[in-house]
Amino acid sequence: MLEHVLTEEMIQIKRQVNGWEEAIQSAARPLVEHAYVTDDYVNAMIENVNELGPYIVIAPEIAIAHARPDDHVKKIGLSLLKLDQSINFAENSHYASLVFVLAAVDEEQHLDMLSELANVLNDSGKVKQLKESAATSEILNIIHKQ
Amino acid sequence: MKFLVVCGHGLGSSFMVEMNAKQALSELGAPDDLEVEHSDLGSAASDMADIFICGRDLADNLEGMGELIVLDNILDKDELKEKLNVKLEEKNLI
Repeated sequence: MLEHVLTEEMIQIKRQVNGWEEAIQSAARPLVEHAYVTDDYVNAMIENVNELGPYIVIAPEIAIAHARPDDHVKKIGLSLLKLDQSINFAENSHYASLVFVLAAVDEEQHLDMLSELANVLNDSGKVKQLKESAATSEILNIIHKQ
Repeated sequence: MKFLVVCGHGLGSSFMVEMNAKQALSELGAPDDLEVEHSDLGSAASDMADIFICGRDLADNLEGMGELIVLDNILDKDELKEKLNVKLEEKNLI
């Protein structure tokens, strides 16, 4: 499922962003442009971090931004923004350079995709390769190569 | 005995940790009747599990819910396995 959702048009590489809010907005852009989610979903994700803290940084260098499934999500989606210069999500060092955005339509349907993604992100060698990638095609290969 | 992995929305990271926890428990030779589920912070209640697992950022929110396993890096399988091991030994389950 992952390879059908996280396609090349969902992946971006940027040198840097100004702040974590911009990281989330920028990472979510392909999902907004392709009508997976609305702008309200992006705002909800930012609001979540403001409320609950930088818990979306699930491991060093990896953030998975998301909000509740609701009317703002049209279909299951996943996008990725890879930053050459990692961004801090909180004052006490929650740096991420791989910023994923998850759009879920309910609490179940995206779980297969996430378990595939977890297999990639649990592999520190692959995470290192992702961080060093210079092209979206490279990222795609690393994630979808079993 | 039941473990509940909790994250902000119960959509992403708690599910990943649930998978890792199930794998770790089986590697540690834990009894088959140990359950692992995941939930979001808003729905988690103290009667839902015996032991709660969460990342450091949410630890304060789960204080008082029950026994806690707090992870510094929630994707770190080794950390999770080590902390589960300590807990299972404490409970004389392995």
